[in-house]
Amino acid sequence: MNNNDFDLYKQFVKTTFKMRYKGSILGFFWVLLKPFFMFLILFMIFSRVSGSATGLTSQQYAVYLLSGLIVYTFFNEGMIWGMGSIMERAGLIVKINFKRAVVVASSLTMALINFSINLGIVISVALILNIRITFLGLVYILLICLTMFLALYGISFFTSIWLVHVRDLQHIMELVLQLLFYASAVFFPVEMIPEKFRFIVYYNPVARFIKAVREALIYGRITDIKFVLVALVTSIILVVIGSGYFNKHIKKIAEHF
Amino acid sequence: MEKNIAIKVENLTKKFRIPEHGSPNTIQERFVNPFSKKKMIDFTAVNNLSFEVKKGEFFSVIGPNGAGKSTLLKLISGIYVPTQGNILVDGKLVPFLELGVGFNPDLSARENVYLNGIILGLTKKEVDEHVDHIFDFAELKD
Repeated sequence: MNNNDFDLYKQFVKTTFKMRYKGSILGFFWVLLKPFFMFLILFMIFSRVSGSATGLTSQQYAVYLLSGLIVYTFFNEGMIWGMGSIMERAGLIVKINFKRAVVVASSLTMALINFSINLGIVISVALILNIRITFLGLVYILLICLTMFLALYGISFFTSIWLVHVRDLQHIMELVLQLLFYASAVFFPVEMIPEKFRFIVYYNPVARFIKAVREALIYGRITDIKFVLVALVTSIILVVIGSGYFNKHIKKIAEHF
Repeated sequence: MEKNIAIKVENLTKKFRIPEHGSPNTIQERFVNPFSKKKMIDFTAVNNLSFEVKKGEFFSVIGPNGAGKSTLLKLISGIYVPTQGNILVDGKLVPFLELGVGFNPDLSARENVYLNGIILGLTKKEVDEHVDHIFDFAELKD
């Protein structure tokens, strides 16, 4: 990565950030307000049912719900923005030859920025509610976050190219992510799923990340570390293979818009 | 490459694979016309072209609509990949295929200068050095 690529990356992050909330009165606050209202809706509807089933107090359930929500949102935004990154910059790509991978990286950085802000809020809420957060737990959450970022980066190398060829992917992805929201036990405890369907959560990486983040945040417990490490290695491999695939196919992308 | 040559194009050919006119392209169209096959044809936009541009030389390409001028420029600037042939460029290449590419009406003039400069291959530092000069030139000094 030379100097210009890094400057370009920063410039793209800056403009995307400005553009995403331009024109709206509350602007940047929507980054905070959207998950908050999402949280409020789910909390009002499910705190009784889900809270009592897990034996969580309503404070604990609030943190439980919030942490699940922000991890899911990170994945959701990463998938959507990463996939759309090349398509979004089509106008530039057909006219100017710059390093294309910069576009993917800057879109994912947007998701990462949102996640960092959200995580900061969840941690503040947890502290206000007298939940003790351990240093080790925090480090573990950051490790999970890194793993997810790399996974998103690797996946986006493929999906950003595919979307240009098959535009339907946009709609398919939205549906898949909607399904994933319910399959990730975001607002209800895993225990509420009938035993014979629990494998869905077991084989769903997002659900396992969410569960691990919750354990680390609420109880300071390091759980499922073997899975996280395997996921980390898998993600790194995915980034390597993905970047190869991306570099091979990106050369011809300008002809397909 | 010889010393005094800036751009050298050798036997350059560019073909595009495009669907034949009227052939069904989406599943919907195929569903409506199940018996017509999807046919792709090769469209040759640039055919076995060779030329050299010497350093310091002005060089223009003139031709009617659809002659392949833009395709040629996009090939030289690396946006398209040649089907056959070679392109050698010695020096810094700043493509200017269209006015206002990357211009963002919601950003300030200064932000646009930075955005465009960096997209065209400058570093932020280089833009820093020239930004005042650019504003002088555009007569946009407040």
